[in-house]
Amino acid sequence: MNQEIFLQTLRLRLQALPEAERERCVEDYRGMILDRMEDGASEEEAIAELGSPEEIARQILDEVPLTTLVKERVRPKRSLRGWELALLILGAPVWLPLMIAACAVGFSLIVTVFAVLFAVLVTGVAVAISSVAVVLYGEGDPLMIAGIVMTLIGLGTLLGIAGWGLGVRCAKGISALVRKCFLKRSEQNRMGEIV
Amino acid sequence: MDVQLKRGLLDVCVLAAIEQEDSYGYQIIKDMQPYVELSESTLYPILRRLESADCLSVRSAEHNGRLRKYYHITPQGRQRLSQFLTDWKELQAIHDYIVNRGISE
Repeated sequence: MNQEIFLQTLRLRLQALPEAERERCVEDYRGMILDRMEDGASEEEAIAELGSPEEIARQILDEVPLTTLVKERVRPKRSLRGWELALLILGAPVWLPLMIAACAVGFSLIVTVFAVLFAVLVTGVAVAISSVAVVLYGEGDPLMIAGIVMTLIGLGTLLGIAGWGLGVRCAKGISALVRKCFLKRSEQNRMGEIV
Repeated sequence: MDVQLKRGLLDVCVLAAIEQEDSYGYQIIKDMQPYVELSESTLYPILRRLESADCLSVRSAEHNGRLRKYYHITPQGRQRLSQFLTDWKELQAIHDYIVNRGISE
């Protein structure tokens, strides 16, 4: 086992400690490895003489007052205070319908946007296909028919590209937005652990 | 040996190791080796415990381009040592009493 793996394992085993405390232990053990190496031990020997990271972590955690450990574990999930809980329950008839309504509005907006874009795409395809009908059943000057067909194909292609492109872009935007919301929450949780 | 008793004894041993001059982890282990076999995993929690009990203080000093932690005994640590010596006399008296009663191991 080399130094970095040893220290990383130790760090993992000390997860229950507050971050600053954990890093201090890891750095102190890094110093102890170096001290043994300066005394002539190889990296492997120095680490072997210190003992296993599991044992070291157990010894450290044995000394830590239980309240510190418990606090560290509980803090990120701050429990609601009594009055907050009461407000939450009593307010349910108000905020629950509001939340459902907000969700419904958001959902319908998304559906509307995609429906419109889908319609544009389908129209494009239809316009392009209709040029076939003009070729088959169109009467009159062949030059004019060729012109109409080209215009229809061009228009259809443009609409098709617009519908498809905007659709993809919207989907990406919405997924990015959703991801951002969730990421923010997990980041806040992480901050809570450190503080 | 009783775990609690050994714990208290090791605390005093470590304080004795830094009583003359400041020392660092590995040096303390080497100093104690002829008397008490101790590894870093055991020593480290003891040092932390003594630090939070204000029996020793920690300072970092430059060594070979890095910081090494040196442990320094505080007045409270010295008091703990002399308290141990007093306690030991009492223990010795109890021991003598037991032995004088003709009880052996």
